[in-house]
Amino acid sequence: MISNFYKKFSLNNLQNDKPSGQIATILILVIVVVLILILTTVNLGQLSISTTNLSNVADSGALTLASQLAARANQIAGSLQTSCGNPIECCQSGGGFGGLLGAIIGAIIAIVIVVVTWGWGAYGAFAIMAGFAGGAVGGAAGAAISGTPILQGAIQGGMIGAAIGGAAYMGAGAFGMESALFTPVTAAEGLGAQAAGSTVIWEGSQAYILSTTLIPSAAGAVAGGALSASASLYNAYVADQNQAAAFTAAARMLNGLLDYDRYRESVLLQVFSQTVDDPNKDIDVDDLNGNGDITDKVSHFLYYWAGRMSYLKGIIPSLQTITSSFFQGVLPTFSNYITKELNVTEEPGLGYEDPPIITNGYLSQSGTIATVAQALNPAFWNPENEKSFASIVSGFETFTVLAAEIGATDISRLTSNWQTYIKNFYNEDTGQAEGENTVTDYYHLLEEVKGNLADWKTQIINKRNQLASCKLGTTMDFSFGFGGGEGGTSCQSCSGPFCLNDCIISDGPEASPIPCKLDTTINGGSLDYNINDEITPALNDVDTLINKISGFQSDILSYVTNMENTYAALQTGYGGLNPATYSWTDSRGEHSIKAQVGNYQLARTVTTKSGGGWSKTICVRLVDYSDNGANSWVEITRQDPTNKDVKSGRVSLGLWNPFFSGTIKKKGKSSYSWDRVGLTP
Amino acid sequence: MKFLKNRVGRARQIGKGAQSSLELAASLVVIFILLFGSLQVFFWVNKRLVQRQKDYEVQRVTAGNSGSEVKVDETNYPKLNIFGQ
Repeated sequence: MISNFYKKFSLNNLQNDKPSGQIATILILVIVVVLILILTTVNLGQLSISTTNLSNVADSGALTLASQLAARANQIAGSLQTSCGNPIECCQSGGGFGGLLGAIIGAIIAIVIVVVTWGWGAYGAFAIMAGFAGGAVGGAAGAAISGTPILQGAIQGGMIGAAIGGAAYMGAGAFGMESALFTPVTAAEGLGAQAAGSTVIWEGSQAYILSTTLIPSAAGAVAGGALSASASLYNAYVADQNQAAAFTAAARMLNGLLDYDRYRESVLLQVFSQTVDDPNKDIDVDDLNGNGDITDKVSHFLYYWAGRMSYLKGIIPSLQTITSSFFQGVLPTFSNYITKELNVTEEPGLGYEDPPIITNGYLSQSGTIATVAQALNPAFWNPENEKSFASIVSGFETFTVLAAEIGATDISRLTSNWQTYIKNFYNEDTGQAEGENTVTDYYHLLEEVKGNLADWKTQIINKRNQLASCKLGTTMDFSFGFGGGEGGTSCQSCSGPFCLNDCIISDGPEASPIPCKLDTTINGGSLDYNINDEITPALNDVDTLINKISGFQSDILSYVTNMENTYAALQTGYGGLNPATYSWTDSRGEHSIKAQVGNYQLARTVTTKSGGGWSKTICVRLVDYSDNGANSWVEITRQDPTNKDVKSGRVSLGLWNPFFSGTIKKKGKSSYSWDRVGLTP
Repeated sequence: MKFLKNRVGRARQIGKGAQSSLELAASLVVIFILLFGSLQVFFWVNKRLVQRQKDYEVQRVTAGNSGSEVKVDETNYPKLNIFGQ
């Protein structure tokens, strides 16, 4: 029969002069041509699917990123709106220079405390849902094309988004799904709803039914309807028994990352979960999916992801140590020092009947500087002067109150947000325009304070030099030689060789005017008839304050430098943080997905100033709250095998991707502001 | 009689040859129609694939913005016409 078949269909039939079998042979040739056409179409279709899928994933990643960034900006904008009716800028005029001292710490609190409050407090659900909604939209768009059910993609994105929005919240109890989107039900009801096709998310034995329908983007729907699916990691999970737990585990690992890292990693997880179709599995010896079974298998990707998350979190203890050292060591030490010098302290006397020991801080109203300024009346004693004693003391008072408040903030939250507030301590952009004002920071502000204090010194010395010289005399004892009646001591002028010059003459025609300068010391002077020098100690106290501020400035620089250097060590490890590459090998060959997120910025506040004197305006301004796609983008590069033999047994059917480099690169750009999100060309 | 037999036999042979030619011609026509149709389908599918991809790339940004509604207009897409215009 085979011989007969060969005779019928042999190509020799076309050469031989035989009437039979020629048509069959031609038919075979035509079928071969048709098969080549089909293979080409399938190859092109697969390429189209991959390209569209990658575009969707890039778009969904960019949307997710923008959504999260906008949600964060919205939180701070909401805080500013509540405070002063303006979502972008809160300004205060007439605070003088000293107002800035407190305002900068206030700006830091606006970032850290507000986010903490919204994350942990009454607005926790909002934070979660802001994240959820953002992730859901992105997830839905990406899922449509990748063949993942749209709602499933939305849930997937939402889970990642929730991990961001309620990261702190999650730490306490998984996803904290008390929001209106999810209805908590019993396990039995959850199973029933799941069987009926509803979307149910499990948190242990607690089930939550999604009660909102999410509509995918039209682009996703169009492409999704036309083209079939390429596998995705989530689909791979779906095929397993532990799919939800495994993906939940991957999303939950985002919890505990630094804020800036968490935004990037959430997008990367979103991208990888929709593009990686690695079929390789590892035995879950670490129980990454949290189901208590260490003999089951999970995707190899989950182990890659767990390693990456551990690596990123490995740096956090070091950063926390530095942060703790600053906020619980340096800052309170400096703040306590200022507090002590601002106040009058009273301590019990040494003996039982001894009077209490009263210490006037030199920035107090009865301290050395105020006493001298009151007597000499220099310019800085005028409260209407922006660099006045009153203004700077007031600024220091605000500083100590806010420093105490920020010192009580959880160190992990401070560490988590360090990249957003640290520029309030030291900002290389100081002096640059921001809106109508100029940017400033604590380091440079303290430099100005030091200049003002040096100016105080100059003014005191100038005033002192204008004083008349003190008339000095000798203390005479009148107890003897005058009848022994009402004796006592008196300061008498003395021109003899044995004069001691140890008092200021207060009586008689040669009485000294006070205040007066003491010619016996360089900058000395007395404010009363006691010969003690009151001016030199005040000048020394100003010097001490300047030195203390210099020390605090050095500490600020050390803190900022240490944090940046410690974090910079991350950039070189783990094959690069951004872009991140995941590679795998399967029966088709070697694949890799490289995902890169733009140099996005988290919304933060800066302190700005303008004007002078009591018309000075100090503003806490929201910055980095919008982007037009320059920094909020996601680029994905997929590398698939090329020129791969398509075989059936030992027979080669042709080459896969023969005219294609195997590399597809797609970029999604998003634009956002604190009140909107969208894609941009 | 023998002559007649030869004539009939020759005529039968001639008839067989003509039959083969007719069958060959018909088969070739069908085969080429099949080939032509396959090519038409091939071009139609791939042109649509490219066109859809282009439309998708143009509309993805619009679709990704909230409140927007994007519909694909297929009126200008190539029509499937096996036998040409």
